Amino acid sequence: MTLLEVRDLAAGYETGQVLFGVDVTVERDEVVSLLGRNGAGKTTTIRAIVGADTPHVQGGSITFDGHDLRATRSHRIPKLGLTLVPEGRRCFENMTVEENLRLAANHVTDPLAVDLILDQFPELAAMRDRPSKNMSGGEKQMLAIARSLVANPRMMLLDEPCEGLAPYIVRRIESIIEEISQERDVTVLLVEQNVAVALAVADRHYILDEGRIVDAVSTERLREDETLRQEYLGV
Amino acid sequence: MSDRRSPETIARWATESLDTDVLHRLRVPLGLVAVIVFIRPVVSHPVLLGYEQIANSILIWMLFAASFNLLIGYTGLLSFGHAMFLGFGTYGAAIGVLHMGLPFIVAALISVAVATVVAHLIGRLTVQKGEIYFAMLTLAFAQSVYFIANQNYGGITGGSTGLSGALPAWIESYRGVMYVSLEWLRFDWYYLLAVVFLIGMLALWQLVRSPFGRTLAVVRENEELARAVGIDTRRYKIWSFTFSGMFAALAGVLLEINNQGATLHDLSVTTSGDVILMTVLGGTKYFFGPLTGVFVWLFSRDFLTEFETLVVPLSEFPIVRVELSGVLTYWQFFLGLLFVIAVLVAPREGVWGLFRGGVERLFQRFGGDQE
Repeated sequence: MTLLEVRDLAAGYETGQVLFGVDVTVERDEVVSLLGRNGAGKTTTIRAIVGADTPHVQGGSITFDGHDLRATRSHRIPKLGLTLVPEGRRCFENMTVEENLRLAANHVTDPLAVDLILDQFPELAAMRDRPSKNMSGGEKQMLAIARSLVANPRMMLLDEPCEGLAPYIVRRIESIIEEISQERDVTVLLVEQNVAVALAVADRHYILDEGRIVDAVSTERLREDETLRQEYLGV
Repeated sequence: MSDRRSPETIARWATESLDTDVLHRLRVPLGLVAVIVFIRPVVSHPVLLGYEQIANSILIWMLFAASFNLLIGYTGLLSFGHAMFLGFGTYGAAIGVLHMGLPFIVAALISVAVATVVAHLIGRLTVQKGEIYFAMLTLAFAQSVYFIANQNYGGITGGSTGLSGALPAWIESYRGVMYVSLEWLRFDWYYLLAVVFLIGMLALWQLVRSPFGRTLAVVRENEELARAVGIDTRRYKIWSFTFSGMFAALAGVLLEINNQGATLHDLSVTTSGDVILMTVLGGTKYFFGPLTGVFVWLFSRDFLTEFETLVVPLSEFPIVRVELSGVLTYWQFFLGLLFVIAVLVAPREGVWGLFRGGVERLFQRFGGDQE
């Protein structure tokens, strides 16, 4: 059953159009990756889905579980069961780990228990009273994922969760994504530049280049087809 | 981190914190009581300003600036038209008493209610427009209110002379000093003012530390992320603007009594500008920041304009006499200088943050030796 369907999405910023007809379909319980070089439009796609202030969506449709997301105000989207782990400033820096989680739990209708989430993230449980500004990049990323999970979503969007992290933390994030998908039955759309991460966790891959989906491939094909990787991903 | 949390340390905290914990939790109410108790004797000391009435306006402006800080400090909204709500308080009370013959309390309550509703409506129209547009729109609304009051339609607002003489029946003014005068009791108006100030400030404090206030801080810190976790940021900003207007109008009602009327100056763009400068000077990050800013501003203004001759070392033994009145009448220059320094050194901490930081460093220095 299709959970997220993006059709012919066109979007852009004041400086110009970035997406020229993106089609992405994610079925329930899948882990799908959206791959592409810097500037291909990955983050733009994800931001358009969650209804951020920018980019401006110019055309196409975005449907999540039967809801038209283009007509939904962005703060309502988590309540529909679609949460985002953003890139960049991921946590509320002046709040502790626990406060970050409680805040997210307070603004959805059917959250998971904060303690349940902390059990799943022992690293975070050990520092539940620490302000998130005093945490490492990997810890902040884990907190952002945990905060997204406490809202009890059906689907999670992750925007480059492994960017700038040390390899052993990348392994940990990969295993967290697997846990989320398998144990919590959360569907995942992962935006990545790092092909290795996508190969490790995702079942299917969309390849985005210059604002268009140029290919949709299985993990085997992506692993074997070196020319495809060379041409669109530079690896 | 782990060695600091050893069992001995926790046991020591437990015994030590019993007495300091209550003080710590009640530091804001205690601080507010300290403000109303000490500010009058301090400013009226002959070495400083030497008259008591300035304490009245300091308290009123403190409440006004604290209401403004709910916007700028806690929500991150810079309004250039906050005088409008102060003016709703002053004009509302005066119009209610003079033209409608209402008892003062009723007029005051109505004017605060009207200001709250108007703030809510203006908030709905403006909060989501982006920083510059929000600032310009609030300025535009405030200027149109100013214009209407100045035009004196139907003789209601008194035009450029404003409205005077609208005092509650229980206030009497004698030789420039106002008293609350009941049948069996007569006391200085300052004490009633201080009680209303305290109630208003405590309400504001409850507001900023409630879940509502904590969420406002989240909206200020990272609005996009706030929306991504499901917070209706627009709604929070609108209510912040509403409460801010409500408390500003309360300050306006107090100002109306204190000035024995409403003046056009209450609504003017200078008043809006002053409250921004005072709040930022004091520090928008802290609850006591705007209070400090108001105190420093109003105190320095009066102190510097009154100051004439500097005698060193003591006026009984004049060795050096410097005539400073010519220089110090330009008090705006000195306050402007202080403002620039405060903003450059500590943009969100302000004077209060610098003071706090200094005290903390002293404690660390001398407290550290004892351990």
